Amino acid sequence: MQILTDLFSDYTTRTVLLGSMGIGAVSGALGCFSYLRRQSLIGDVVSHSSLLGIMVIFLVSYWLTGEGSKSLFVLIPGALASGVASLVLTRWIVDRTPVREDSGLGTMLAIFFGGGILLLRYVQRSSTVIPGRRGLKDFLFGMSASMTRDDLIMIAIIGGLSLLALLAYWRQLKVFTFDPLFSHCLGFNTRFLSLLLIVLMVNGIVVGIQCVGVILMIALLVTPAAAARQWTSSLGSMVLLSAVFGGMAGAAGSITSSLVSKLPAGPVIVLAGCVIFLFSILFAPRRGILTVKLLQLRAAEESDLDEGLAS
Amino acid sequence: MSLILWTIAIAVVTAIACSLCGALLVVRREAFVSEGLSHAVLPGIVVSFVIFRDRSSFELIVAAAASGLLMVWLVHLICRSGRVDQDAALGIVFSGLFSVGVVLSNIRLRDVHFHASCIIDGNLALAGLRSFKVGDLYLGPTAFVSMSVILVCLVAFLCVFFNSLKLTAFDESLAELVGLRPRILRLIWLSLVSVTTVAAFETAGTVLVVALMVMPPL
Repeated sequence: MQILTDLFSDYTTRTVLLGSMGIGAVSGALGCFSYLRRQSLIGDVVSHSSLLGIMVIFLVSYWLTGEGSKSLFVLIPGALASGVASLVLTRWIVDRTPVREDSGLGTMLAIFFGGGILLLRYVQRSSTVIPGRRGLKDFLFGMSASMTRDDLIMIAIIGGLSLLALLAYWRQLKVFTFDPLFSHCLGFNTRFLSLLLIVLMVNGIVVGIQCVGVILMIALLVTPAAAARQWTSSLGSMVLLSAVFGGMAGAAGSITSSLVSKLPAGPVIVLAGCVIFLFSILFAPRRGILTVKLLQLRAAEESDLDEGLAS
Repeated sequence: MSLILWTIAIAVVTAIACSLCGALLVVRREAFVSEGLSHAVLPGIVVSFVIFRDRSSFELIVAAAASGLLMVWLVHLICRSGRVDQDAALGIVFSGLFSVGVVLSNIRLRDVHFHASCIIDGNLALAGLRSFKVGDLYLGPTAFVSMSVILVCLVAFLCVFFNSLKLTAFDESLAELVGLRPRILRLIWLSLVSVTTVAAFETAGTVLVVALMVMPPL
């Protein structure tokens, strides 16, 4: 108990804890839609691609002001732009050439992430020291430990706006997610809805990059959603549960990494998510693998008993 | 042969091996398996490095291929349960394994020059420097020899099983009907792919491996 009160009284730890929980909850909630539309891996492409945008903005700010900016208020628009650009380009290629979606996405990932890494290494190794370049590589694996008040505000703004948009278009998004054709027939603007979902997903991703880095971001989108899906069959409770699971993973990860000195928070958050997923897929009521086994066993026993009574 | 020529030779052999692997993945719409593998091999690399302390050992390639196969097996297991579809399962499993690798490397390898980011961009320029010798006979740089061996294995496997692989790729149930073992074939094939992925890290790095696998077959 003493440890926990110490944790909460420390300003840095509290910021990191709140930030990680917020990030986990926001990306958990937004990840549900791409999970249900079977587009989980698109999140991986977007998060990798955003590295290019971050690096370009960093370099532009260096050329303009003489110092590379690492403020999220500057970098996030860049991440958003390159994330959306990679998806739009993929769409364009898939529509116009025989290339199929998975290969197109893989290609875009390689180009955007490769470009990002190229610029990152250039910034790190260039002979003229670029101010602010230290710590840039943390975008790869996350740097929740260095979260500040500004970052919290940014997370709250983006997360809040995304959730508001989610609530505003809830019914349309629900229909569109499960049956795009039907939602078209109802007269909904499907192009807009699909773009909205993409932007929401990218929002969830750029918020989370701060915490777990571009490489592991996919886990914050998919794992809580997949875990939540095992517990419920209604979209509303799935989004809520997924947010709760994401928040739990974020909290568990940041607490563990602040207690154990060598552990980086990002990967621990991902592993916490995996544990939640494993527990859900095994023990969730009605859908859990072991629960189903147990129910079958009990049913078999009961029918044995019935036969015994009848004879 | 001069260093530059050897370096070019390494690059060419790596590229050929990767694109051979990629052709089948692209046909089966599994381009993301290469992306997944390129992350999932990390725990194997770290574990073998902790034990053997050697960055280019044979054990390292085997261990990495094993953790790649672990990913394939876990994804298969999750999909078979029918509760999560393949894309999502792949995303969950490879990010989980990659995290295991990063955590392990942070706990066990703080003191040595080894970091997860060193497999993100390989180093082609250095690959030509380490030479491979049998007795006194100079056979070329290690990277060239290992990539060539892998390339020969790949070509041999493709030549022998080309028809079965073709059938499996386009119609799995028919392949099963005519008595082939699609699952075992796939397992062998994917282990070859993960061996190639690991071997190519040294020269190309993870990003370029994905590019080399997916782009040429397009």
